[in-house]
Formats: sequence, structure tokens, C-alpha cells
Amino acid sequence: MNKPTITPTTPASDATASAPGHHPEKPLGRSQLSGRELYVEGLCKSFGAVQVLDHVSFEVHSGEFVTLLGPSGCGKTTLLRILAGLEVPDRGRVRLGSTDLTLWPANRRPINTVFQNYALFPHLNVFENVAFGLRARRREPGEIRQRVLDALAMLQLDGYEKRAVQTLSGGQKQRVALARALVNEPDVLLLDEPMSALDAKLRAEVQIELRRLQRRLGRTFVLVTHDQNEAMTVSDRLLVMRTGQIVQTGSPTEVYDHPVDRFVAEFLGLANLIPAWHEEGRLCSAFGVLVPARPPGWEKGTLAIRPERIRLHSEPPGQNGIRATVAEVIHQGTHLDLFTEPHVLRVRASTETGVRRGDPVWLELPEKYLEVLRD
Amino acid sequence: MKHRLPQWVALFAVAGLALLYLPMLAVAVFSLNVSRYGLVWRGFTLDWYVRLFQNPYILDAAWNTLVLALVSTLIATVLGTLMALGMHRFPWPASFRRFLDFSVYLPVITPDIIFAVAAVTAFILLRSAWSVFEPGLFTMICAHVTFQIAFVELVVAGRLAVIGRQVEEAARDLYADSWTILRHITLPLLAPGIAAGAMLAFTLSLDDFVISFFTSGPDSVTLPIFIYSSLRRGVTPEIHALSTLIFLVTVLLVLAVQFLTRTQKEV
Repeated sequence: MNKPTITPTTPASDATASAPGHHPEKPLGRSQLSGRELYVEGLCKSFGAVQVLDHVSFEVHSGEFVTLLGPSGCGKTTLLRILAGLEVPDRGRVRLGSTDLTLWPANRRPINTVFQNYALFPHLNVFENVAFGLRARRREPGEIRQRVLDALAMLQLDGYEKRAVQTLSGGQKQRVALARALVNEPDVLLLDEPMSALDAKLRAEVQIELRRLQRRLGRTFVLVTHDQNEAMTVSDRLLVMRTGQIVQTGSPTEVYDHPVDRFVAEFLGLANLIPAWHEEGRLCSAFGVLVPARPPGWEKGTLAIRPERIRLHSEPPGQNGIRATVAEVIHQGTHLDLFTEPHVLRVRASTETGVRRGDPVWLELPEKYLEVLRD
Repeated sequence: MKHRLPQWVALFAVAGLALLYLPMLAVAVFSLNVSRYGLVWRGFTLDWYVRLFQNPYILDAAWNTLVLALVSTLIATVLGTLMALGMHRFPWPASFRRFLDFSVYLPVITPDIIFAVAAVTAFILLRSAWSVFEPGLFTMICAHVTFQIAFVELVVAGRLAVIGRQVEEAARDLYADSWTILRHITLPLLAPGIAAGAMLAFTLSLDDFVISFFTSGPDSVTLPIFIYSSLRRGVTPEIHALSTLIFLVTVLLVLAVQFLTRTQKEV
């Protein structure tokens, strides 16, 4: 239940200095990217009587973009704060390569954070905000200047050095926060809901930018969000969290296509959940006998299918066919959302199908898309 | 249309303001009156103000008041700020922090006279051990610092709450140790709050009569004590002039505090 599958699924995971390939812009710094993996082992954390993290274990490969995805209160922010060193776990360890960081304070960890609402220093200008980490580590003034200017250039903030941070827009503040963290060339960059203060349109652009930036730098990014779109857009791998545990890990495609339980199926996108049970060696449901992708391990449980996987036919299909009437048609611009009766299913159809309310249809739930959930 | 309150509500407000300011206005007017006695207006003069600055007792009292206010404010500001930092940036258990907060409010709402008697009692005890605690400027400074600390702590703590923990955490995340955070993040952001707290403390010290009266010695007469003792010989226009000046200084200080606490919301 609480054992996430540790799948080494990093594309281009061996991040040597030049692994991410071409640098169209200047590289951020001269030091070699360290290829240290992040290991989280059996983390537990309680606040009073509330257990926020319950034996959380996972690993993040060097150069991987991993997202902790879950609803508010699932413990993802606490987990991030433990990685940053702002919180000490009750049990468990955090390792970077062979170094145990669990008891290291935040200011000694080679890990930097982009905070929710950015937490820029309001009394310092853009340059000084970005320079803060380098100054705290007593770098040479010349080096500080060069690295800060490089970081600002990388985030298209050239010329903003002298600006007061209060005068910046939300998107600019966010880029300053990114520059302030990345200029230190951290082994791991943590991002705590970094887009939550941006409006929807800007958010979509920034997500793609962030993904490109991470690819170019080849650094390890760990993002926390409750926004499944954001998680799908930016991540190599998702860690879906619920009430202090990791429920499922995998690439966005894996998790979307093969959700392990009802929670994941409904949290990521839309899903039709179909209760089913064994009867005389067959799997029955309110729709009749169904054949799912693989035989279920339970006597009684749930099947799931995405609305866009259901096919419409005018003739009965060979298998998993359901006779239904279209009860509602909603035009969504790019597609139609159909709702059927007597048994309610949500079906996504092409705008060219021309179905109308009241039409009788045959629905096919293709075997390979009819997922068996574990609950 | 906006809902309007009846006009008599506005009249009450005006009447309230009048009650607040008429006595002070009367004092200010009499301080400019040629007539020494009585309530009759005999013409405008600044003579009383000139005499004020020629009276050695008044100048002496003014000097004492200033030294007392400056020194006590300086000490109380440092201690009050440290107290606020210690109370709100140290991970106390929640219940103990509530107790601490309450302990700070208590001196603020304690009547001055009780505070004064307590101070006198304490000084009597201390005097038996060390003669510095003879009534005088030193004991007054001690007493003033004692009541000012709570006010400074409250103002600084308010500002600390506005700043929040996140910028300090961000600084720690960026390799800053505790001293660097205090020096480069917390104190600069706290500065308006510290200044506001200091000005409040300064105003309180300047105006304080009860505590000063109980803890002062023969050589440490302050302006409020001087005014009080002069009153027994009858009110003079000089006293009116002095009161008016003190009032104006207080108003300026309060305006400064208002200004500083206003800007602190725009972090």
C-alpha cells in the first residue's frame, strides 16, 4: 500500500556536465553538474496527533523532473520542507548520493527552493535578491556579479538588476525567485507550488518554460503542486500523494493510463468508475458482463475507463458493448461531452460524430482501456 | 444610494472631538494672552514663551525630561526588540507562548499608580544593597525602561508578524546562518517597527507623571513634575505655554508613529 514502485525511468538520467546537450544560451555556471541522486527513505512526520507523512520513500534521479502531486493536506509541502531542511522528520532519512542530509540545516544543504509566493526580500533589489546566496557563501565580488548577471540573462531579466522587487509583475517575481535559487547551482531545486500566484494563461506559458529550463540545465527539479495539468506538463515522473503516503509513481502517461485506485483515477483527469463483481466465473457490472485489461485480484471492486477511450458505434461491438441513449450533449469547442442513460457514462466524442440528445448508441469499452483498480 | 446615518450622529462626533480638544485649545489660547490672571483676553503675546526659555528651573526640568526619555527609550528599544525576537522567533510550545504574550500585556494595562508603588518598593529593597538606587535620574530611568519595554515589544512583535517567517526561511535556504539572517533580513525589515516602538516609548516617557513622581529625587525634576508643583502656586501663562509646547511635541511624535506603522503594512 505504502510501498511506491521505484522505477528507474529517467530519460537521459546520467547527467554529466554536457549531457543535456546544446546550450543555446549561456550555461548557468562553470562548476560541473553533480550527478547525485536524491533518496528519501521511510520519512515519518507528525504535527501533534496528526500524522502528516507516513513512511514515505522514493528516489529522484539526477537530472529528473519529479512532481509531488496531491490534494491540499496530503503532506506534499511538509515533504518538500523536509527536503529543504526547514523541517526535521520524526523518522526516516534524506540522502543525496552517499551523504545523509537528514539532520543538516537548510543553510548547509546543496538544495535551493522556489517558495510559494516567492518570498523575495522586499528591501533588496533584483540583483541583491539573486546575489544573496552567493554573498552568504562569501564568493568573490567579481564572481558574484558574473553569476548573477548570467542567471538574470538566462531568465530574460537583463536590465532588471536595479529594480525594486515590489515593482515587478507576478511572472517577473517568479523568474527572480528561480534565478535566486538557480544561481547557486543546487544539486536539487525544490519548487513549492510556484505557479499558484499566476493567472491561468501565464501559468501555461511558464510551465513550458520551466520544463525547457530544466532540460537545458539538466538539474534535478522536485515540484510540489495540486494542479494535475501542471504536473502532467512538466514532469518526467509523478509521485501521487494522499494522506501522507505515496499512492502511485510513474510517468504522467503511465499514471494517467493505468491509475492504481479510484483516488488516482479521479484526481488525474476524468474517469468513469464502474463497480464490478465476480459471478459464475465472469465479471459482471450494471452494464452486463465486462472483460477488463487484466483479470482483477478482487471479488468485488472497481473498473475505470477514461471518457475519451469509449468508442461510439451504430452496431453492437464484439465485446464490452453497452446499449445506451444519449441523455446530454455538451459542446466543449474541441470535442463533445456525452452523458448516457439509463447507466450514466461520460463519453468524449469528436465534434463530427453528429450525435444528438435522445439518439440511441452502442458504446464499446475497449478491453485494453478498461482498467482494473485495486479498490 | 448609500445608506446615510441621521445627522445627529455626525453632531455627536463633532461634540466628542470638541470635548477632546477644547481644553487643550483653551490652554493654547491662554498661553498667548497678555493677561497674567483671569480669563479675560487682553491681547496677543509670545512673552510667556520667551520667559519659559529664561527660567532656569524649567530649562533644568526640560533637560532632565529629555535625558530621561532618550536614555530610557534607547535601553527599552534594545531590550524590547530582543524580547520580541526571543518570544516570536524561538520555537516555544504554543501554550507557553500564549502565557508570554499575556505577560507582556499585563504591564500595559496595569494602572500607573500600582506600577509606581511597585517600583518604589523595589528600589527601597535594592537601595539597602546598593546606594545607586537612591531616588534620582537613575531610578527614574530604570522605572521608565520597565514600563516602556512592554510597549516596544508589542509594536515590534506586530511588525514581526507582518514580515512573517517565509523570508527568513528563504534566507536560510540560501545559505545564511542565524546571524546573517538577523543582520541582513530581519533587522532591516523590522526597522520601521523598531522606530515606531521607540517613538511610542519616547512619548510615554515624556508625558509620564505618576511613575516619575514616585521615583524621582530632589535633583531630578522633570517637566510634568515641575508643572504639577507649580500648579499648587496657581496656574500661570508660563505653564500654559509649556503645556502647549509639550502637547505639540507629543502630537508630532504620535504622527511619526502613525506614519511608520502605516508604511509597515506595505511590505
